[in-house]
Amino acid sequence: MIAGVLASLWMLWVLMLAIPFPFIANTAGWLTAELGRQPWLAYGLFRTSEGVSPLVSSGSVLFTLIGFAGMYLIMGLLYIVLMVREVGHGPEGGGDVLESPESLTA
Amino acid sequence: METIWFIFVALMVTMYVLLDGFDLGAGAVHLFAARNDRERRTIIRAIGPVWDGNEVWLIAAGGTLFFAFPTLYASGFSGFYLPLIIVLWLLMIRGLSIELRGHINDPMWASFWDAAFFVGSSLLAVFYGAALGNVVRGVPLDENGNFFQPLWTDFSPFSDTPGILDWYTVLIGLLALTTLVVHGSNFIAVKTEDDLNARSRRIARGFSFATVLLTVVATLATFWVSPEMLRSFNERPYGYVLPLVAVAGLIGMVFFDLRGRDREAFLSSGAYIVGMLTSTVFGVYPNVLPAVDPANSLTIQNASASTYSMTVGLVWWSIGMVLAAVYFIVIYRLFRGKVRL
Repeated sequence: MIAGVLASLWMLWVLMLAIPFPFIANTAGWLTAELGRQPWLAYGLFRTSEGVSPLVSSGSVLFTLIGFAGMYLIMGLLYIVLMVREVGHGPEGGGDVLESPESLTA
Repeated sequence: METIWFIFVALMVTMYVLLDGFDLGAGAVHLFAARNDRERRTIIRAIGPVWDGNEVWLIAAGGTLFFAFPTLYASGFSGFYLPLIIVLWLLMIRGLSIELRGHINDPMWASFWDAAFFVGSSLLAVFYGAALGNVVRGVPLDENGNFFQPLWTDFSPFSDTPGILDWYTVLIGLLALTTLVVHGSNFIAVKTEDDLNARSRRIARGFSFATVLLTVVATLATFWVSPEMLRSFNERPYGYVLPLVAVAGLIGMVFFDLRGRDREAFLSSGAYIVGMLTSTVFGVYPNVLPAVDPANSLTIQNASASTYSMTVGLVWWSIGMVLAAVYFIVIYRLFRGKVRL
């Protein structure tokens, strides 16, 4: 019964389109936790305004923010490219990846 | 109690450099030690099962620092904001290069990530050395524990406003690079056979001489930059055993590399790293971050957490360390021996 559902075409579409959901859930969870806690850094103990590093310039912060955005943009694009390639290979094409040294990574 | 935690943090940082040091070194030399794709994959597979575990020692050391010396953590992470973020980016680029290299079987793809692996690994070694150099020389802390230093200024030994990268810290960075190149090449030599083994042994040999030379220069420079180091050793002469470990490691490193005994050479470069790092922190103690104006220095007393938390932390730290030790013994036993593709 379950095998039948998993093999049906509409379920395969749902599974494939569900790939972004864990990322959305993860990010939304972080945003909820971090934004929901404002204006506290440690709830009820320590305000965000008290936790600012006085000697880190806003220029440095902007620079690193752009840097991180760039890094994650590139990582996201790489992820999509590799994911699309993998999907394109179909179920039999996974052999390459399994033999790569990274699969031994702990 | 503060001293115990000072030793714990020093121990964890040393473990980090000892373990991640050889995979950073392997990254720094893999372009030169390996001549073809097969050899490069052999090197990546040699460090593959362990490199990310090794890096956890950095995170664990940072966490322990935050726990035991929160003032130092706050001061250091704010003052070294830009260089720390750069280190983080380098760690990301290096991790990506190891993970992504094998995903597309194409020479252009592989060589791009090889280059990223080389740049990330080498620059990390230099930055870690420079970080240590800054801690030895001291930073312009104000009475609230804040400081700002530009990333670089004029590199002059007589500068009033030295940057985070200046002649001294870059010198220590270069020493860190040659040291980790030797350590990493020794590791590759232990883990591989034939041409790759012979080539990495030759690299280790060459760079061990460079390391000897730089050690002498860096030691003299350190005593000139920070006379307190020498005073620490003279006040507590039993500390001289630590530089002796470093010297023994240095001699062993050259000797065993010349003899082609890879395992002993690797253990020697490890002993050298342990000796150098412990000597440095011994010299800095009881400061944790010396200030240009000694009155503002962060010490184990004024930077530490409360005695209660440090006592409770002792229990959890011990449990964590036992688990980590078991994990590392298992993983290194599981992947012992030469790597064959």
